[in-house]
Amino acid sequence: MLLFTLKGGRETVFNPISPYGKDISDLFIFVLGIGGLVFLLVAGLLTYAIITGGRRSRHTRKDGLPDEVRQIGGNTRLEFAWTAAPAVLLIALFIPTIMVMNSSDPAKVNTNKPDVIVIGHQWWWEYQYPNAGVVTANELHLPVITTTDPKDPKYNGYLVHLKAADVQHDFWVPALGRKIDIYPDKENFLYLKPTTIGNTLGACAEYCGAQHAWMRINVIIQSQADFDKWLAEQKVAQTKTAPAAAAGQGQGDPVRGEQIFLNNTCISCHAITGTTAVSPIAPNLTHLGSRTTLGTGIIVNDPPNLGRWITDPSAVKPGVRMPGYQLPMQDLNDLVAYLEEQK
Amino acid sequence: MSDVPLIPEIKKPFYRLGEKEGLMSWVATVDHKLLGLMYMATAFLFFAVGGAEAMLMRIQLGTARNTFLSPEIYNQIFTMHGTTMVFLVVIPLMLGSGIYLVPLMIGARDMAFPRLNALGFWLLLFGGLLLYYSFVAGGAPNGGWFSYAPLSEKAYNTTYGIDYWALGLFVQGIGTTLAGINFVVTILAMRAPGMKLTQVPMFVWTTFINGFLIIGAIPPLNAALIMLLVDRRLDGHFFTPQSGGSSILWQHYFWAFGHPEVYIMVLPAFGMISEILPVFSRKPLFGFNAIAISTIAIAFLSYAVYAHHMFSVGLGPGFEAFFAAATALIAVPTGIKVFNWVFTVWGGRLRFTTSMMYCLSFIFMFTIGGISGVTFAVVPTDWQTTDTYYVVAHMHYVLFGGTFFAVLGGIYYWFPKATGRLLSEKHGKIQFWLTFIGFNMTFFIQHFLGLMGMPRRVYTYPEIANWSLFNLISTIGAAILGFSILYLIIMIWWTLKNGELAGDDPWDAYTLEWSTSSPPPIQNFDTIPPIRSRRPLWDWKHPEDPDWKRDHDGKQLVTKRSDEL
Repeated sequence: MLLFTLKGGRETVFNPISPYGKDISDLFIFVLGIGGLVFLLVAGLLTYAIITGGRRSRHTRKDGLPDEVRQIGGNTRLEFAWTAAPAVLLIALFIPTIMVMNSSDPAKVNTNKPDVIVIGHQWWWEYQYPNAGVVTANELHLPVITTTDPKDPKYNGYLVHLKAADVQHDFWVPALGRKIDIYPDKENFLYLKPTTIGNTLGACAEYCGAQHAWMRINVIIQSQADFDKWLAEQKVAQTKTAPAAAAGQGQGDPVRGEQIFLNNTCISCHAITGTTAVSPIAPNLTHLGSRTTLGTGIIVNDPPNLGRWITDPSAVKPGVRMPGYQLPMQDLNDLVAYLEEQK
Repeated sequence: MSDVPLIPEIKKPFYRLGEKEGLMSWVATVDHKLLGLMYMATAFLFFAVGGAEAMLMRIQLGTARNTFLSPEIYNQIFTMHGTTMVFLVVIPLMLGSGIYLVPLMIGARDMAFPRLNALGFWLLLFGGLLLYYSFVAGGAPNGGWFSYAPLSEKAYNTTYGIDYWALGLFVQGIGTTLAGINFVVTILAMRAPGMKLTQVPMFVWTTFINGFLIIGAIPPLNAALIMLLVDRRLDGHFFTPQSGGSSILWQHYFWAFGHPEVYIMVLPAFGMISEILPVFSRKPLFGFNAIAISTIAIAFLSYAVYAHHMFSVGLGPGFEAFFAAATALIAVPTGIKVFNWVFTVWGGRLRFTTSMMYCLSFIFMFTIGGISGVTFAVVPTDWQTTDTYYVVAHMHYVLFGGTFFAVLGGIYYWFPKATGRLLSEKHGKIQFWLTFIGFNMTFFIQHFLGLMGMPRRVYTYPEIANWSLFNLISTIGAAILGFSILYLIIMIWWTLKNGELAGDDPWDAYTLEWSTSSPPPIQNFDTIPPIRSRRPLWDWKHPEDPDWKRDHDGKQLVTKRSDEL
């Protein structure tokens, strides 16, 4: 039907970029195929019955007596048939169900060494790369997996450990495979195995409060080289360049911006590598400038938007936990320059 | 045989608000007919409110990044929409139609416990009002209709909304349980002389089974609601992970109620379909025994499938496989029903009344809902579709296209019995097509939105290809649907005063309620026709071909019953 429309969209269930997503997609199409046949059968029988029954009701007997049809209250053989047939059909569905359960969400081994730790917060995502010691937020970078060797440790994909900091959330990237709930009191694990380079979108799928809608997931799948480069950059404290002397009024000064960041209450919640700001409550702002969106997907990350966000985040994302900062214009420009320079 | 006149005279409608003893006659009544009508009226009142909430949500979702509603308001609205529709609309519709019809169908004077019956209604009404009082008490509940912990706990939810939610549902739940007990006892003990338990009409049977479902399913919810209240107001720790409670425990409690609840909301609707299709097909119900037994099977299985609402929790493959198998199994008795309905229509002489049109479209809509339901039994596809708009579409196909279409068919069918007046067929057909088109336009496209990655319960969404377009189509459909319901309410209002008089048996029907006057007198029956089969009025109108002289497959039996010789 409209499956073709769905194939067109990048983020649909039917356009997977992972073998796990593909297994589910294939199973889904199989189930819908069988379901479609069942629907056609029921609808066809019923339509036929309606047409013939309508025709029958327009005939009247010549002697004027009410023309009742034969009063048939059942047919044992037919009834057995439509008890047995669905049972057989459901067994035919159940076997691939179990097979795909195993193939699309393989059993986890060695869960104490995850490649990525995902922590759901109200209403943003924290992504940790424990092996590299990198913490970032709202954009999940993953290197593409090309191996076809089952002995390769990467064959199953990246082991992701999912936790929640507050309430229940759910990590769902349709093109990568299943969704999985995230709990403050239950450890969940998931393999992600992206096999195509590119960006894909997902979202928190469990209602988690006021801004559940803006808890978008942005996955960036890169080549191994690009990923390594990105990871190495994340570890390095950023450079601060003083503006050229010729720069006029309004041009931000990152050096001063850093002091504004450290001297305000920003550091009660945010962290930036290489500074004294280490709080894990809110998104880690190291290399904020390299991210494409602010507010977990709600606006594009550019200096004017960042200024708006710092001044009045509630106007952009009502309910957000961050307070607004009414900074003098120059201070704001410096702070924005400092944060945006962190590429 | 001649106990009841063949062409009964049309009597003046018996009850009118304010005609007998004024408002007091309604407030103080223990009569099942008045209580049944009050249930239905209450349900329609809340339906109008819940429908208005749905319209607000659809307006907000009509386009990407709409700012019509704030997220806080939107979250309250969708919570109240779901809660209202489930607890204050569909359950009261199921209970109310049972309370009105069961005594009439089994030839009883009233329900077994009339005062309990009245208590149940008033608990429902005041439970609902308590819930809605939250709007003026500092904010409506905003946890969704299943209020998952720990979001519903005090740490994350500081208004009193969730407390009103828990208390309102607790009160309403007691009322529902009382009605369930009343159904079971009434149907066991109050049947007319000669009517065996195997000879009750299918609607009575499904209501009977529903009584057991209610008695089993509501208490877990009520227990969990009290635990939630203890957590919130007495600093308990049942569902607070931060102090040693378990958030997943709430889900187990809730869905142990929540899935039987789905069948509580649909079994009586199955019963209505099974009454109406045969009458307008001029045939008996095909495979009565199979439908009756499959109803029991559904009731049993419904307790064993609840965790398919929890496949995304990550409870492990063994756990998930068990509930997947049970869920798949429940499709078998449901399939039996659908095929039996199709073959009830098959070979009949159909009369396309509005009621019949609703019941026929019920089969189509419910089949779609059933098939999309199977995709939730297939665990990996459930992993993709749960908590998305796909599930929203599915449940509306079951609850609106299923239950509510059956209820609308039932309203067109039994309205003349309850009020003595016929709803207009001409306007009824218009109303039907508006509903049918509006419903499908609203909800079919939501399947695709879900598969395209749109989660449920979002107050807005980013600009992604086709999302705005599909949502706008859904919103336009909702407007048509809303208009069709308005049309129906105006029609009912007009018909109450000016409708064509119906007579006792306008549809040439089969069951006992059509042998008394319309509306029935306070005592229900003066005389009851002899009951020898499931269709006493058919036997009585067709002495040459009564049901009890035919076997299951329609063959004439040569032997006569001993009481006939």
